[in-house]
Amino acid sequence: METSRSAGLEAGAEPVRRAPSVLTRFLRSRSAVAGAILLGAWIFVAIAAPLLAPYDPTETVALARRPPTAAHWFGTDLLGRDLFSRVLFGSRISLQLGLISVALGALPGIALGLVAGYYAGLIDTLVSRFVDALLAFPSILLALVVIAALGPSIQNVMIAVGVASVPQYARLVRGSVLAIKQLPYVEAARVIGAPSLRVMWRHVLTNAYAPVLVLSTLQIGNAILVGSGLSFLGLGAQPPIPEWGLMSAEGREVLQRAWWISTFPGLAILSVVVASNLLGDGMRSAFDPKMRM
Amino acid sequence: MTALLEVEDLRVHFGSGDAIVRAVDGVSLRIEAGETLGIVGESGSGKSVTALSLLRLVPTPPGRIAGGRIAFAGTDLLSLPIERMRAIRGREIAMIFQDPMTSLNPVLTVGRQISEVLELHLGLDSAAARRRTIELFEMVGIPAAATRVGDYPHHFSGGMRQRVMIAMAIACRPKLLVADEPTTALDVTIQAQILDLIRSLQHELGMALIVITHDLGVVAGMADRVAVMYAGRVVEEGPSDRIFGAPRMPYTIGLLQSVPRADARGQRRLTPIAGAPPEPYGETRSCRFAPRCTHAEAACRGTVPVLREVAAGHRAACLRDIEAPWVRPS
Repeated sequence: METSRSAGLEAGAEPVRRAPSVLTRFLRSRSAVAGAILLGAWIFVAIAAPLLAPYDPTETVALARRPPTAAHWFGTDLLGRDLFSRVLFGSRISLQLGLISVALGALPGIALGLVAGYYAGLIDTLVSRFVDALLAFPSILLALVVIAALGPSIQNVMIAVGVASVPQYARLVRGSVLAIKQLPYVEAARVIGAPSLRVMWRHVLTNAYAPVLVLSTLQIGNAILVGSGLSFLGLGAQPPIPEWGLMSAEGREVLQRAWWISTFPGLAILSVVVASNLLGDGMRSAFDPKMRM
Repeated sequence: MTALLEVEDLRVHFGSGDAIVRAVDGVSLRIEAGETLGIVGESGSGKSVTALSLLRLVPTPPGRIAGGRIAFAGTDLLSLPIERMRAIRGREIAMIFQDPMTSLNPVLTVGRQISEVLELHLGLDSAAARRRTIELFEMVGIPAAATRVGDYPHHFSGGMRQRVMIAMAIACRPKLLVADEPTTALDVTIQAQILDLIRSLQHELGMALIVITHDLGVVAGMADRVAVMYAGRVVEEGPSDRIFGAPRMPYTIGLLQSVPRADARGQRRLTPIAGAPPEPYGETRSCRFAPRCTHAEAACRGTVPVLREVAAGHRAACLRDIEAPWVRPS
């Protein structure tokens, strides 16, 4: 460090001020922090649900369709189960569904998109036509096909939702890669003799993550919604599992007389989706090296 | 003695079918160890594609090396397996680019990008690579080297980024450095500094240097020999003082008449070359410069002139025997 300081003084350079770290910049964004706290809170709830929930989520503990009271904060559902406890336990399933299905969709999708965009030519044509074919189906239909093949269960919903989102990631990543691989620094990396995989990974993909990150966070919300939809159709979570989508579907029939049965699970879905979007947006700005000034 | 680099009849085509663009159409070059070769020509004349071909980095598709031979230190590069070619890139032949603003990966620190070369080719561990990177930064004149290695490219000005690129290029002490328009994107005062730096590093490391530029001034000050390219072909080639003092190809003469010269006596009008470069499509059956040439005659439109020796080590591709209106004794 001694040498560096003297070199700096010789050159008349002002003292080099260190750029704030990614974390510092992330913490500066209020909405990102709010998203992180909210999502963190839900993760905490998911882990600690048995300790936090006042009642067993699958047991009838009161009269059916009772409005919120001090004993039952969110009221009771069609069968007289405590809705508050069910929402707390529901976070376990919904968060798992969101995170796992995003991972199942993003990893193969990113790999396909990267290979298609980087190699171009025949490989690109094959991958892109495959992706186009998948995109031609509504993702719920794709998910239905997967469920039909694998059978209804919450695990298969995760696989189905993941598979259904693969083409979106592949398309998105391919587009970014096509733009990035034209940039001189990618050529520069090849000029220094870096092998293709290394160029792809280190120079292309690291610059393409921003839209992927944003899509993934949006996709968490979408996965929870599609998973809920499948549960509603009887293809996902089976009663009496406390799953938010299933719960709000159950209350749909009685929305006018017992609004709380659908509303509280719906609000839970909303808060997780908003939290993951805020978080994704904040991460994107924090990782952007151009903001490191 | 064999030359360090010998390019023979190199052909690079883009596209296919009727729309083939012959970006490089039979280029031959030769450069000895430690020598400086300037390649000049206007945009689209095939300079940069020639340079990329040396590393076999012509974007394929749509481009492909359609023919010719590139021998580097006696090795035929075009038939080399890709792994061995990679071992040459960055280690034996290095390259710097025109635009230092986009030649560095924005998400990696400059130190890591230079370390990458050292790790790839010299197998240095990260601590050794970091030490060497700091040395390299000092060699290329980046102040506060030890602290700057941790900075990201956007922390550097254009001139400093070009110094980073040069540090990366010389990291493995290459035998040949290809500088493709190294100063075009920089402002004039920085240009001179960067050229001085390249020149002094060349002497220090004993590298051969290919400077590609459209700026005759850059070449005049640096090159031992100059090759002038037009529409994918070398149209004149010779020692620097011959090219500037006694050019024999009307295109070169035209280029020199269209730029102001500090060594011109009295007042002289700048004469532009009329017309525009030819469409690059299709096969060549005539002198491609003929439509713009004030000396063209019927024969120029029916034959492709080949390079012929007009003086010792000086070759020009012109059917006629044209001399510049000025001739400087070499």
